Amino acid sequence: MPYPHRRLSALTAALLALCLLLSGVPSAAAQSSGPPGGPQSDVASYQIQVTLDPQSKQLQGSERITYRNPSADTLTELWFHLYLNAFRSPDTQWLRESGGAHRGFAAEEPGWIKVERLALADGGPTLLLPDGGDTAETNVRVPLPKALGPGQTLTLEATWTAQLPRVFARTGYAGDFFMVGQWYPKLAVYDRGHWDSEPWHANSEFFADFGNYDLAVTLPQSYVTGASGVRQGETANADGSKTVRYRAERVTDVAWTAWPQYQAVDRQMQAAGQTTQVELLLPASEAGDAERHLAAIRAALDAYGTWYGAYPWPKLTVVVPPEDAGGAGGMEYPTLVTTGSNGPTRGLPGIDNGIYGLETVTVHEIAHEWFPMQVQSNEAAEAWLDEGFADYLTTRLLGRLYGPDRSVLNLPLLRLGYVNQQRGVVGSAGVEQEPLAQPSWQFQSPYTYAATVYGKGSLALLSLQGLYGDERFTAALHHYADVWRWRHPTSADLRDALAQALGQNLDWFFNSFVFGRDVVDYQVGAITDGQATVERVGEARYPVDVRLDFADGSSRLERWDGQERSLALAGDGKAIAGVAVDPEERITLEINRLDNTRLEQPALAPALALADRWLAFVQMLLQLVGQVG
Amino acid sequence: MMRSPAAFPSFGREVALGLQAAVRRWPLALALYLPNLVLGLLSALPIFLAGEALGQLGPWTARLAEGDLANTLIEFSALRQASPPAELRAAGGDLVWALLLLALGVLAQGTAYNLLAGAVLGRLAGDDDVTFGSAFRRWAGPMFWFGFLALMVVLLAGTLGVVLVALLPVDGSASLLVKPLLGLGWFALLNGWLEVARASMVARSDPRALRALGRAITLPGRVWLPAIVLWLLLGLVGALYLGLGGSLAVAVPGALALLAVAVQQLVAFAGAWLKLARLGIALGVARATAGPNLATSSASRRYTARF
Repeated sequence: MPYPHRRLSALTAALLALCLLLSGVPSAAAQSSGPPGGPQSDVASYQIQVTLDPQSKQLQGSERITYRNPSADTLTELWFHLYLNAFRSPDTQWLRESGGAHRGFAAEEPGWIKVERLALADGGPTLLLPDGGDTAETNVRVPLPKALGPGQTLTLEATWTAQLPRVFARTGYAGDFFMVGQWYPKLAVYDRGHWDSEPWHANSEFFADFGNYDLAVTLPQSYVTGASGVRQGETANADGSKTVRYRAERVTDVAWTAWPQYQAVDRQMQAAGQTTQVELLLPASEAGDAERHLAAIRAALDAYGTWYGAYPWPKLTVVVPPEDAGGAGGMEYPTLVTTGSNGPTRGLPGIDNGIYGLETVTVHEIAHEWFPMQVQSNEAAEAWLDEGFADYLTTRLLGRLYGPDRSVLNLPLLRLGYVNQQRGVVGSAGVEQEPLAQPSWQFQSPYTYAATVYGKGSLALLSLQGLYGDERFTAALHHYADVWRWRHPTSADLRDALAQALGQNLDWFFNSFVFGRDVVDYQVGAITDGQATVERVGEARYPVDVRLDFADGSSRLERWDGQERSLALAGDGKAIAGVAVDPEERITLEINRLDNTRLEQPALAPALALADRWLAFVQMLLQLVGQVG
Repeated sequence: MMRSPAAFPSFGREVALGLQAAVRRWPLALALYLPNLVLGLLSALPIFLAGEALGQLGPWTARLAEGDLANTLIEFSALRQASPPAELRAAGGDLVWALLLLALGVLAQGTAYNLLAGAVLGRLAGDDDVTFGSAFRRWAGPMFWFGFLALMVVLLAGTLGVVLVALLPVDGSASLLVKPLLGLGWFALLNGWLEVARASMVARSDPRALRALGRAITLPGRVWLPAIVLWLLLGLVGALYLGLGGSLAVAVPGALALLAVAVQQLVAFAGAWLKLARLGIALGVARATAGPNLATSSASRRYTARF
């Protein structure tokens, strides 16, 4: 059955196709040729010195960048991200797109970055920046005085000043709390023949080359700090400040945080055969949550490490921002993630422990340490490759920890599973037909963006897992991670890696859900004359199990390839008692499960039990509201 | 508090007597339980039919009966974009009937309670000469009118209380704990006060509902504090009953339907008796605060003499 209200007009479809083509999003036809060369773990390296002024909330920074042209092309220009300019004024593209808010937190104070000087190192010529470096752009082009050939390296020096905004979208300050991300002039990625020159959009996240970072932060001595990488040391300065140094290797970014009131909890964890030093920074008022965070961190490191390869860095820092800096929470950086608490239900007896919001955010963000922090896809152009993956990992892990039907809520009279929550999100947002591989900035709203890349993305991977089995699909994703670790894969690369590992052609899957607008929708048709019919209503031809239940108590399971519109199943002389399509509910992408089963003679006991539950509810209600005074 | 006979010579005793009357005359709880049962069954019948229809479509009825509401109901979010099967449409129609009957049931329960409350109080007051039927005829009209006034009071004062509680400058998790508790406390006081007002009509043999409300407002100062404590205590007992009773009612697996029904009806009857006890206690409070009017009542004299 077609979905007329979802069907695009020919004109709209043509325009969308044109947009996708112009935006450079890979199409089904764009076959990956496999990973070029070896791992690209040392393309862009930074030595950054920064001084924090807690009063003005400003950063004074200088950096030395070593860039190696990783491509086979000769580069005549560089592109730099100046992310903080997104918050320069209410007129910026980012703030216009976001409506001045992010995840419910409103923009209050401006942020910006001004590059005072950018030059080739060691006395080389100054490079020209738009508006002398004091630009409103978040992505700027810098012509090179001399072309940079394939494999050649150049070194740059920059000095800059940044104003941090009141934190509402990942980065900024709240009183004397600082979460500093997207904060320094940062090289864009040159990949597959072009620079990532897209400005920063409200729905977009990030994309960067791997490299090594040396970070030195100077700030008042009272501050407790945390940052990407491993702390190298701390020196007290004559002016009463201190300088804290960190080093991070094979990473795409560094972020850091500083707050005098942090309580630090250090724990050495053995997970997936690897030792990892974990540092948990959280407000003293939330110290009671520390063990919950640590348990979630341990579970995540162990599960993800077992499934996709051990956590490759020596340290992981997990930050719980204070209550008035919620906008900083729920974000991933290499070797550092920010999470949150259970908010208003925190500490409520009998409730707090049954709400897994804290664990959900923590394990979701840690999942990003694999995707995209090791497998660095373009988070802006194909967000499902990191957010869909992170939510898929979250779903698997929470289901294993708490049970699939209660991995979000596990309260006495209310339980909810993460998979079902995502099915509800996708259904309520109406994004079943949204292609997964589309640029973040082309989604209609933050909600449709999130519902698609997180919700539908995780459901797509769960459906594949359901088709090929946990073990086989985990091995296939492990293969994808191994092939594309320290590189920049696309959806097409994922398709090819999975196809190779599974020994199956997956074009049908990717063309339907990743690049296309198909939906999975099966239903049971009629049961007549010892024959049952099942029908494919959606366009997607998803292989599915069909179970015939017979009146004598026996059953028969068949795999249907879904190629035809319907399938007739004979009872072979037995009376058919019922038919179920996808009886194990493995296809989480199925948009309507309510018509997937038909029973000729359903048992009365469930109906009686349901009526009895209702009776109990009604009697309680009548006692409560019908006998007042 | 209630063991301070010097300060409050009759309060504790009268309350205890009221409670004892509720224990001794426990069959009166049937008058409160049976309408509740009938109205509940009326609303549950369409749910049974809905469950039967939904059962043809697979595991949904069983999952709902097991209490897996959120996970199951989320599947219904897909309905907006697909034409639902006939069984689902039938189940939807049955659900509408059930909700309609529930709404009517609330009205009917309120009406039945107000019509029967006077008879129950009359019998609780201890006058053996007065049958349930004669007490019903005597008090049905005045109590119905009282019920209407009480509803207005609850709507106005209840709303006012909820607004005031919502405006309290408490945030975070403390807000989730403190505000509902304050709201519940406010409704517990309101309910207790209305019960005393209702009981005072019977205690004083005075059918004037408005006057009863006024009388309850002007309870003697010496009684206010113990009355408030008592009402809050009863509110706590009621909340415990709802929490424990509700949990118990769904604790029995749906597959054991007969056992589930039996447990649940025991819980419902316990709830009815709890209300009977509240009325008995309200009668005690009304007596403890009554003046010479009470002494002239033959029923009151016998009530007092019995104990």
